[in-house]
Amino acid sequence: MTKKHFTVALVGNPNCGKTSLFNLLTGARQRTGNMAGVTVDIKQGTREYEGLTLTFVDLPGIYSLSQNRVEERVTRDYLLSTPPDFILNVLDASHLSRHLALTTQLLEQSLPTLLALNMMDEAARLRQVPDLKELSRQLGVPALASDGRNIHIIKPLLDQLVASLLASNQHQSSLVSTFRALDIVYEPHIEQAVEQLQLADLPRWQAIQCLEAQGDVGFQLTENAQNAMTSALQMLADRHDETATEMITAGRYGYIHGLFHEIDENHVDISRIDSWLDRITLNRWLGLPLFFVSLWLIFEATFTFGAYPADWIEQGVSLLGDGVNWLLPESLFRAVITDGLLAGVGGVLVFLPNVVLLFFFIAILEQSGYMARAAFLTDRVMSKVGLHGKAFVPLVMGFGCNVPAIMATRTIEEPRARLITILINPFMSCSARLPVYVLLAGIFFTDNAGSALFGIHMLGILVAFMIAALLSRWLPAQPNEIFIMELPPWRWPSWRSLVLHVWDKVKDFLQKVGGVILVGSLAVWVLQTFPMQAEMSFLEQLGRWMAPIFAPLGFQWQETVALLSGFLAKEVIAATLAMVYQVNAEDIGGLQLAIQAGLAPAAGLALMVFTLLYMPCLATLAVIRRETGSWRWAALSIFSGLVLAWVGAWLAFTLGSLIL
Amino acid sequence: MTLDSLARGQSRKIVNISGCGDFRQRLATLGILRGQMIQLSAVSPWGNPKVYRLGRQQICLRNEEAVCIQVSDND
Repeated sequence: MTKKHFTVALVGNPNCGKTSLFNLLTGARQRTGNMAGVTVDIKQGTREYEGLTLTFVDLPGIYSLSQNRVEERVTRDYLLSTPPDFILNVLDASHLSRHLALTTQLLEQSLPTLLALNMMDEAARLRQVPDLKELSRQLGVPALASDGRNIHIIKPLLDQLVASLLASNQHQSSLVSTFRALDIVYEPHIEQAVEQLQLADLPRWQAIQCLEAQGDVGFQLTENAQNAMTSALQMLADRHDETATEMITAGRYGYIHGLFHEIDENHVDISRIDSWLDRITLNRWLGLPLFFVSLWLIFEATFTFGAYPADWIEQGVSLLGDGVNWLLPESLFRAVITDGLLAGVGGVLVFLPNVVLLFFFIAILEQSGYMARAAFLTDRVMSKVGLHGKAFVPLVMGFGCNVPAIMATRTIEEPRARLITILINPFMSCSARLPVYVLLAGIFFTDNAGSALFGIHMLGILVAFMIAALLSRWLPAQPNEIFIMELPPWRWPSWRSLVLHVWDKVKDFLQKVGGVILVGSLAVWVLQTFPMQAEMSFLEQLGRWMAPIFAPLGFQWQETVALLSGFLAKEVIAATLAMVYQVNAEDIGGLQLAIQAGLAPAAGLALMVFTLLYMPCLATLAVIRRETGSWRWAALSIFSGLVLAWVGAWLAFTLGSLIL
Repeated sequence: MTLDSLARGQSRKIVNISGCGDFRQRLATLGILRGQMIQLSAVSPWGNPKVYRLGRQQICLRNEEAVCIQVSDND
C-alpha cells in the first residue's frame, strides 16, 4: 500500500518568511511580521495536492539546532520526537550564507530536505542571485525559488516536494537512503574530538551537535558518551581560547563560502534607501520623536478616516430600524430587535472602520520592519523598568488583543521578566476598548479626537511601565537574559498580506459582534425592559445601587452598568452605553447628544480612563491564569486594575473639572 | 579596544570574543565570529543599546555585552 499522507515541516531562521509561505501553502491565516519571534508555537495546516494529503507544520524560526532557547527547543524537539516525512528548509536568498548555516546542520543529520529560497527579488536587487542549480548540485538536495507573496511560484515547489516525497518514501521501503549525510571537515582538534565521540557509539552528526551545543542536546546520551563528551570538551578548552561552538560555526561558514566563492556578501553594502531610512528612523535625537509622531498620526487617521464608513454603517443600521418599525406592529418582539439588537450591536458595528484602520496601520509598521527599530529606540526605558527587550513584540500585539499578546510572552525566558510582561499587558489598550474612546472622544473632544485617542493609549503605556517598575522592585531579581536583536532589512509591505491581515480582523470583530456582543446586548435589553410598568428597570436598580461607588468619578447609573457589562468583553461597554442612552434617541447622532447632555466632559474623560485601566476581560483573565499557572496573578490583575482605574478616573475627573 | 568604545561610522575587525558561553554561542549562530569587520551604525537616545553592522546584517547589542567583544585598535 502506498502512503498517501505526508508531514512536511517548515524550518528556517527567524524572519525568513516561513509563516508567509505556510499561509500560502495551506490557506491558513497565521500572523506574520517583519521581525523575529512572531511564531512561538507549532502550527499545522493541510493541503490536498495530486491525490496526496500534505500536512504542513510551521515551526518557530531558529538560528541553529544546537542552542537552547525556547524557540530552538520547540523546533529541535519536534524534529527529534516526531520526525516529519520531509523538511522544507526556508532560506532568505539575500542573506544566504547565514541561512545556509542551519541547512548544513539539517544535512549533517541527513534529514530529507528541500530548500525553498525566499526573497529572490531582494537578492536580485543586490545583484547576487544564487545559482540554484549549482547550489542543489553541491548540497545534493533540490533547491527552488519560493515567495510567500506569490501564488504562481508555489506550483513548481509543490511538484518538486511531491516528487521528492514519493521518491524518498519508495527508497525508505527498500531500505536505501537517498540522503547521504553532508560531510564538512572541521578544524583538526574538532575532528579529533568528534572521532572520540564516535568511538562512544554516537553518529557523526550527534557528535558534532554535542560539541556545538556544549552537551545541551535533545537526544539521550549514554554514560559512556557523556564521559567522552566531557573529556573532548576539556581537550578543546585546553588547546583553544575559542569555544567549540565558535570553531564549528567557523567550519560551517568556511564550507558555505567555499560553495560560492564568487559571491562575497560582506562586500555588498546596504542599499542607499535602506541606509537613508535607518539614518532617519534610528537617529539619536530624531528617532524617538518620530516614533511618537507616527503613533499620533496613526490615531488621528484612525479617527478621521474611520468617520466616513462609520456614517454609512450608521445609515444602514437606521434604515434597517425604520424597515423593522414599518414591517412589524409595535410589540415586545419589535422592541428586542430595535432597542436591543440594532441599538446594541449596531452601536458597536459603527466602530468597525476605526478598528480596521488601526490594525491596518499597525500591520504596516510591523511588516515594513519599523517595529524592530522602535524596540531598539525604547530598549533603555524598558530595561530600566525590568522589561526584557523581547517584551516589545507582546506589548505592541496588546494594542490588537491582549490574549495572543500574552501568549507571545513565551519567547521571554527569564521568568520574572515574562511575568511582568504578562501582568502589564492588559494596560496596553486593546482594540475592543477603541469603540468607547472613539464614541466619547467624538463627543467631548470633537476638535482633537485623534489626539485624545493618542493620549489615552499613551496613558496606558505609562501606567504599564509604572506597574512594571513597581513589580520589578517587588519580585526577586533574576540574572538578566542576554539581549541580541537583529534589525530586519526594510521591506515593502505586501498588499496581499495586508489585506488578508485586515480581513481577518474584520472577521474576528464580526464574530465577536455576532457572539458575545449580541448576547451581552440582549441581556442588557432584558434587564432594561423588565419589570415592565415598574418605575425602575432591573438595570437601573442595579446601576443606582452601585452608583455611589462611582459617584466621585462623575458617573451616573448608566455608566455604572456599562462598565459592569464590559467584563464580558470591552466592546459591550459601547453597546450598553448606546442602549441605555438611546431609549429616546433616534440614531447615533441622537445618542451623542443624549450622552453629552447627561455627562460632564470631565466625567467623559474619567470614563475613558476607567475603561482603559479596569480589569481585563474574561478571555484575558483566563489566559493570564493559564500562562502564569495560578489564579493568584489573575486575581491580582483584577484587583490592581480596579484600584488603578478608580484612582485614575478620580484624578481625571477632578483635574478635568478644573480645566474642561 | 572593546566594541562599545567605537565611534559612529567607525569600522574595525573583531579580534576576540570573551564572556559567558551562552553569549558567545548566540553570536556564533548569528554568524558573528573573529576576523569579521564590524561597524557602529546607530546609537539609541541613551547611548545604550547600539546598532552594529556586519556586511548587510544589522544587530542591536547592549553595551554590557559589547564590552566582551575586542576589536582591532586601527583599521
